[in-house]
Amino acid sequence: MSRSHFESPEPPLVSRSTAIVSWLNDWRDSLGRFFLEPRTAETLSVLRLTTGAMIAYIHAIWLSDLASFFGPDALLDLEVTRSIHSRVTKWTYLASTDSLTIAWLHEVTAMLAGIAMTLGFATRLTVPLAWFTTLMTAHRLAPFLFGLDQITLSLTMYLMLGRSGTFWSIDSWIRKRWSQSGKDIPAWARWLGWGEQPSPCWTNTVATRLIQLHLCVIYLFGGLGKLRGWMWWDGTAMWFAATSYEYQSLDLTWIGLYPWLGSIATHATLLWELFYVALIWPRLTRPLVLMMAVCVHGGIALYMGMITFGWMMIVANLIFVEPSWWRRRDAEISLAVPPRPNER
Amino acid sequence: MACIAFHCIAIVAEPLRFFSQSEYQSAAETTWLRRSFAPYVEWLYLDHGYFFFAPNPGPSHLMGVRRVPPSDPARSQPIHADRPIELARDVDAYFPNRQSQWPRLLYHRYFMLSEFYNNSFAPAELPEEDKQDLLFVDRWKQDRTFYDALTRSISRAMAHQLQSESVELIRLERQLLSIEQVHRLGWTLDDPRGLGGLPENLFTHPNADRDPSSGEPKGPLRPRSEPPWRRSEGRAIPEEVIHP
Repeated sequence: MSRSHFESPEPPLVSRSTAIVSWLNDWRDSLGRFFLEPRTAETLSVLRLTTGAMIAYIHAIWLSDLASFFGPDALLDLEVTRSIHSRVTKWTYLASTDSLTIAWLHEVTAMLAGIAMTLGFATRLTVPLAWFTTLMTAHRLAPFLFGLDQITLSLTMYLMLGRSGTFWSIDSWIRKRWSQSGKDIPAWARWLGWGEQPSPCWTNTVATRLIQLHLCVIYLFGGLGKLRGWMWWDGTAMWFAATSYEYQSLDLTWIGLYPWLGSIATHATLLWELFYVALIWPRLTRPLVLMMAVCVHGGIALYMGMITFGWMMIVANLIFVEPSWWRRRDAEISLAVPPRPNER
Repeated sequence: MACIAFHCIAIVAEPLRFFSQSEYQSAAETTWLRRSFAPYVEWLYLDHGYFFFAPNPGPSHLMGVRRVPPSDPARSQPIHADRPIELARDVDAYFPNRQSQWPRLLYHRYFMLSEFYNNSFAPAELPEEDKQDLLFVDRWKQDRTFYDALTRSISRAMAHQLQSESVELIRLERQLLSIEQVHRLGWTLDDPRGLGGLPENLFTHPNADRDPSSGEPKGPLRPRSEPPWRRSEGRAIPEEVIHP
């Protein structure tokens, strides 16, 4: 039997190239929809509320022991800071002065910006201000930082792109009052974010996708890094991580009485981190992956003393919750709350 | 879309470089990629390897501080790894310290500093055989200079806080305890027997050949804490490979 019975005839070169072009066009369109299809900003607004509060708290802590972190008697003087910066691009104006007054002003500004961000007041100004001031502090105090600062700064950076002030904010309240009065919103008010409409917008999608992709990168490399360690293979990593005295906040030594439990928790954590990048996207597996995120980061927060870091990672994972879900919850709460007398 | 693509590459540039280096070399293409994106990645604070509790959870590092001259005769005794350390007895101050550093985020800031100090450690002297490798010596000199500056800075601040003429900083390491040590031998997680001083001379640690988690011998003599400067088979890795 000749080969021609089994093989279709060679497609002409023109049709093959047309198919490739068509495939590339489809791919480009899908990518465009993924990154640019307009969406509303309910999820981003939830992240703004929590991230702003964390920024305010972070700076309140710096302020509580200001003289140890800044000024002439700081633990890391300007010589050390400049030495660190000599190898990397970490410019910050806080590395050019050891004035405690300037540091105090800077930290108070950053804390107020964080509070304003949480309240959703002038978000077009206060979110970038919170990000910039926190970044300046981070570059000055790099040796004191850990995962909390990484995730908080990244979230704030992406929140600057979207319209995170259009829901549950003072900005949205001001916008409603302005529109009820029938007056035009002046240009200066638009600069503060008071003119932004809660309608779907492509910048919200860009911010959402970048946060989602960044989280996938964090978990993927976190998982790959763990693959290099024998404790993550033999199931003892959970025991050694949870019983490190400097981290411990609640006693977890009982897990040593049930080695199989520690081993399962170790392997579940490893597999979850490794496959997060794939399993977070399908709607079928997303709830499971998010539940696991709450368990892992909740465990870190409760047992390993990193309440702030654990909390912010859970908050970051909320980016995978669709805006419509928050809209439905908001509607339910609105229905549950009886209207005020003047609204009847 | 080009901006989005640029940013996405920047996000992975640092972890890719971080993962693709060994004691022998760094992969050329990831080093090039990271170097190309350096100002963007570094200034936006995207330069993280995301090595959370990886490759293995390790021992914690504390810093002990003693007044010089000593305020208490008990605090003039040298600290060794083979002698249990009781922080209240042996040092005037230490961090991280749950009692004095509260709330927890403040405690964690000090914890990160003590880990950074330990990671920045470079020994006061090199063994004779290492002095033949000029690249290695050059790298060691840079790291020792930085470590000295860091020690001076922290010492000055702590002397001010303790109202002392000067202070001595002591690197401490708390070993990870095995299930057996906790549940069979009854050690508590803060047992003084699990806490040891780290020597300035990297190659004379008495417990250097013991595994920190099991206490079992782990083969050839090696430092318990890896120095930030890398060496392999006595050869130094050029500076630009480690810090592109």
